Amino acid sequence: MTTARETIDALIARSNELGADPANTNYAGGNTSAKGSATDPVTGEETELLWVKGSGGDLGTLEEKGLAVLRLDRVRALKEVYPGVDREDEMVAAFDYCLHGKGGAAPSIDTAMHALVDAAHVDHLHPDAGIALATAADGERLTRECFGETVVWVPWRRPGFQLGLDISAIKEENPAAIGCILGGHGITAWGETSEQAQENSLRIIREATEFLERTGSSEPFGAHDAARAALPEAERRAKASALFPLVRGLASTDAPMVGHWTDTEAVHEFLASEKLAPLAELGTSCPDHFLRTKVKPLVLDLPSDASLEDSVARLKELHEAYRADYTAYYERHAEADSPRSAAPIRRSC
Amino acid sequence: MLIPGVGMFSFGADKQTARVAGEFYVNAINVMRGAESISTYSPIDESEKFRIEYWALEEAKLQRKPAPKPLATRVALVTGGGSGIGKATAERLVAEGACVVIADLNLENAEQVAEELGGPDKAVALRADVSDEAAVVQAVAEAVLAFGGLDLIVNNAGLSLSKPLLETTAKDWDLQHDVMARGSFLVSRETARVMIDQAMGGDIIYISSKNSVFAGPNNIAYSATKADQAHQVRLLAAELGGHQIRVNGINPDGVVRGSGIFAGGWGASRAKVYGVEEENLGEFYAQRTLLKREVLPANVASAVFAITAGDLSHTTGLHIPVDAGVAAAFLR
Repeated sequence: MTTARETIDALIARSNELGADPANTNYAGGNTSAKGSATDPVTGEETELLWVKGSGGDLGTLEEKGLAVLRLDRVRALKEVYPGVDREDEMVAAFDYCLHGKGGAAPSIDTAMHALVDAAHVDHLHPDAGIALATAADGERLTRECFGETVVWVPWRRPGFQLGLDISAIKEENPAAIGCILGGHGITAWGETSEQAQENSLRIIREATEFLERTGSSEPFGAHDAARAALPEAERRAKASALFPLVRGLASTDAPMVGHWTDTEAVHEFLASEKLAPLAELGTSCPDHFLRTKVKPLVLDLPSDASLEDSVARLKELHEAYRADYTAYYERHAEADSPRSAAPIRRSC
Repeated sequence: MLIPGVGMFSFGADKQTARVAGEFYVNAINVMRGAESISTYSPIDESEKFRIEYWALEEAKLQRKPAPKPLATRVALVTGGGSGIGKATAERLVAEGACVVIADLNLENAEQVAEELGGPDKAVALRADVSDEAAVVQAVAEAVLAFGGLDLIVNNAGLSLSKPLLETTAKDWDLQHDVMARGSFLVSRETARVMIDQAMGGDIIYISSKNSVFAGPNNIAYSATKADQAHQVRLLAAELGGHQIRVNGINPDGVVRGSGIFAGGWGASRAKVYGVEEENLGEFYAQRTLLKREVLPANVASAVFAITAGDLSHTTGLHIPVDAGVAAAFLR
């Protein structure tokens, strides 16, 4: 029988390995868990515990102190007191009453998924290839085409207790499944051993990647527009340098910000594509993203060789429109109890 | 922000957050490419995104974050930051939350300091000869790319060749004036351009010297250029105030231990003049001051922090002595 120490060590190693490869998940995205036995110091008897990555931090650098440790029987008992999806956020406070010992990390919102899915080891990840399927309009059909019965589609639901119940039910209904595609979000894989869970996670990501390569069209972003291609290096650096302070100033309208310039091929391919405007308008693709960036980027609608004066003037116009747009978005959706930020734009992309 | 031909600019309350926001959008580009290749990209709808972005639970987590450091979101450029006062200043600025560009004639020294301070999310290194106009223009352009702009400039690069008048060559005069008077002017000009575009205000600090006001012996070239720097402080405080750019100076003296200037033989020769051991030179200078304390590079860095941290928000055109008290250098 695996000791608690072995369970913890295997979980950390698996987490670090999965988190080390950016193809497997985004920075600080995803979480992993293991269920196992440990001696309860109060009774001297073996009891079932759940070790799960806590809130915050990156899988690649996860250490033992980043794990939340909970009594499995108590977390599962929460099903009896669950008041329904309208009040599911209350379950997060309830986790505190299921903790085993002191000193673990705070449980994350995904804890319910890890507890309720009936498998000893569970991985929840945000791989780009998996999310491509998860955000495809025909995602459900394509998931079946790619994986058959092995990986099942779960329709979008905000992370929480209800999603945990949904996934757990889907696993019961699909005994051949090794994991699922979470619509609009990511993937979850499971296994009876740590090795198996890790293998299943990697298999799902690999098969999704191969499916995209094999069946995907060659120009997913439409035609290349040379007028928006990357400028030659020296010119590009000079223009970036000339625009950056101005753009920093605009981004700092509500509070001072520090900037980062991403100058990679993937970005330039996207910027020079036919579908740049409509796709940028649709915004980012994973709950992790919305929390740290704004919902969508601001796009300068001028060619690469636009003059500094024209670029600056247009950026100022677009920035004003962006702020108005964002305030309207907030007003469209805010309810009486929505957090009201001191300024409409707290973080910025 | 997506700018065709140029790339993507992302922003955050610190460099790591800004960088990660950019990384997340690259994840989004990869996802969109995949989704569009087999179907059409169809993320969750706007109302669901809003519920996530403004989730009460996440808001609670944000409120639990510790208060930011005093210089968080500031982006500094320190010339001569590879050693001595410049290095101590870079260290203090990073410790207080700023991002720092360390510019130095000696790139290796600058890189060493940047690495010690925690790498590119905190500090980056550049080679710069401040006496060379093209090099300054280029260095400031490069510095801007590191963190998105600049708003805290420390004109610290300098050297000292003290000689009697009759032994001072034109080359001695030119070199010190080129590095300190001209170099500070060029750096101030190019960084002011950046700060005016940013419209976020800022600080320019000149590390001048007690010798900018004190007529010490055998110091015509060094002291004259230090006086030039001191007056640049007043001139630019007057000219740049309208842009919310504050310009102040620091007049150090007797910084021996840890100093770039006193290394490399200068300290040894001064020690000989006074008849003391080189390692006691700092203490010797201290005894000549009112407070009888040695002045260390970290003390000058403390004055830089005091000027920029916020409590002196209404002060511009000031010169602060950091010399353990020298009555002959009291300003009127």
